[in-house]
Amino acid sequence: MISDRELFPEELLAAAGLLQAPPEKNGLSFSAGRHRSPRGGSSSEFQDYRSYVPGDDLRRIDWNVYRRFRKLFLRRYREFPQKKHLVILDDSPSVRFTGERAALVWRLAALICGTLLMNGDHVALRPGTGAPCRSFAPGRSSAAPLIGELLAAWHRKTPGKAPDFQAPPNCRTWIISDFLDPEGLDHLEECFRRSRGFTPVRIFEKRELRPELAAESRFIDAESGSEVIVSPGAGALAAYAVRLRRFEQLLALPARRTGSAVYGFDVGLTVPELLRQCAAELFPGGRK
Amino acid sequence: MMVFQGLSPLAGAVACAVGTSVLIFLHFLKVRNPGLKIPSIMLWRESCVHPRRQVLWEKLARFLSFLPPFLFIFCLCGALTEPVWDRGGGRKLVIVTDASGFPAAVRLLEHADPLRSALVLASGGGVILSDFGAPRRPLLLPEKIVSDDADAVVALAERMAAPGGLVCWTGSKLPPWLPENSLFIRSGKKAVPKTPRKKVKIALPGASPRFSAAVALFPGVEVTEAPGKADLIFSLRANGTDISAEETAIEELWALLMRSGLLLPEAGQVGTGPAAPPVLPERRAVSLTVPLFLLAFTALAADILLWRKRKTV
Repeated sequence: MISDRELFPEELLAAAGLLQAPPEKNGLSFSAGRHRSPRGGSSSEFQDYRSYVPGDDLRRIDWNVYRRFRKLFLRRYREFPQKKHLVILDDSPSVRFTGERAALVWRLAALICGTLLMNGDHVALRPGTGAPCRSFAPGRSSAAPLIGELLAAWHRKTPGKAPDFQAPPNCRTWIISDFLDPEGLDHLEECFRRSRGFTPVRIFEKRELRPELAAESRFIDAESGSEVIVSPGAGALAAYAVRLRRFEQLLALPARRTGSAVYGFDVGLTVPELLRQCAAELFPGGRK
Repeated sequence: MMVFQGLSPLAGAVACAVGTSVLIFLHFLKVRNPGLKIPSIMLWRESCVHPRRQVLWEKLARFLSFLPPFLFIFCLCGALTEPVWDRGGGRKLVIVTDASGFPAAVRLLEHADPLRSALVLASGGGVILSDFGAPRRPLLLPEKIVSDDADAVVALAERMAAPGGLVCWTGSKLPPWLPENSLFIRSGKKAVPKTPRKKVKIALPGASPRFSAAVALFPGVEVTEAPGKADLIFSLRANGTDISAEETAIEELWALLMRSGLLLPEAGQVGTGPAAPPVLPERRAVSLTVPLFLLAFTALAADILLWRKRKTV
């Protein structure tokens, strides 16, 4: 059993910004997001000037410029719109199959949520399908509730269901899952086609990509309990490879709709390796 | 007619029943695959999961999978009984012997067709020591030999050899009468001449003069009219009209004597024997042992192949 401290080690919380909140810099508060917008905003970060037109707010006129050029210019400031994100964790038995699989999902959720919150975005977290969705306001104040929510879901005794892959409008949806549907690839494809699109964050084990069969095996699905008997041989492995390829093509479908990529994380990654991969792939620009 | 030369049919049936029972018992005792729980079998099974249609073939296939191992056991047990399918035909040889002619009779029997030859001991009404198609085992002369009823023994031998079979009587005492197509080998006297000058005396009662003259031309052979002094007595058909049948019978018996070593051709005597090799009657019996072994191992191979094939995704 993985303890809470092992689940969320300090280096992971620090990387996610959940351990120590970054100082308020550039005069920005968490009431605003940190994504630049082409539209002018009301922040204190100067963007550019534009000519005055009747009706503009006189308080924005730069009188120093008027004194030098005898023309009226308005100072424009950057706008930092807040984005909304929905992070869905897969709490199904296939994810809970081993502690390492589940821990990776929870760590990824902490990293993604923490990074988004520290970027000034609103984050809603749904730990498993059917679980209540809890929203977190951007900023340091949400760190403790977020960790608490994740730990509560972690310690929940009854496993949840696999996500239904339905993404609400007006927010970016992240689904952290192994995307293994007990009802089969066809059902998964149907769900993906109905979905509005989301960013798939997939966890996998290396042996899932290159399985090896030494002897005849009777596999039992951890979620549905159905069985299949597999005999070693090129035929079975070739069929598996075909299905795996189709599965990976399916995963790209919802990602394309949101313009994102499919992120894959190996269950065998250590925490430092996970942080490195997250920094390189999920948030290549780092926290803003 | 099916003749079993190996295990008796009863022993084969028992072995088959035991083997089948063991197979069924082992089937129920078979260590089942304990199963390996994995996160999901989504990628292992067919992408389209429909409830399995229980078509007739699928129901039958489960039972058909038992067929090869059962066939293997049946064929193996059947092969061990060494069955021979006797389609009839051919000429039977019944060797009758008394105590003095027993070694010569055994030697004849060893060289005769197992399916077509039988050995009868001239004791009492006749004791069948080895029947047609019986497996060849070492034979010993019974200790208790009662005074023989020669008439009954000859009748038994004639009956056994019928139709068209040959009776070969070995012994020191001439039987009261010889059936048609029979040979008497006097065991009290040496059938094989020790000295080159001594000729084998052959009596041919009932043979045509032409045939007797032909036999008399054989080197080392002397045709005699007195059966009491003859070493070999060929009793041929009484009417003497069927020359070709006589010749065939003589050739068969002659070849048998040569093969068994009872009448060895020696230099200057029976050097050439019959001019042509003896034409033996076509053996119309088929041994099923090898085909059954082949079928058994084919069934075994099929079972292994099916076992490997049916354990697929």
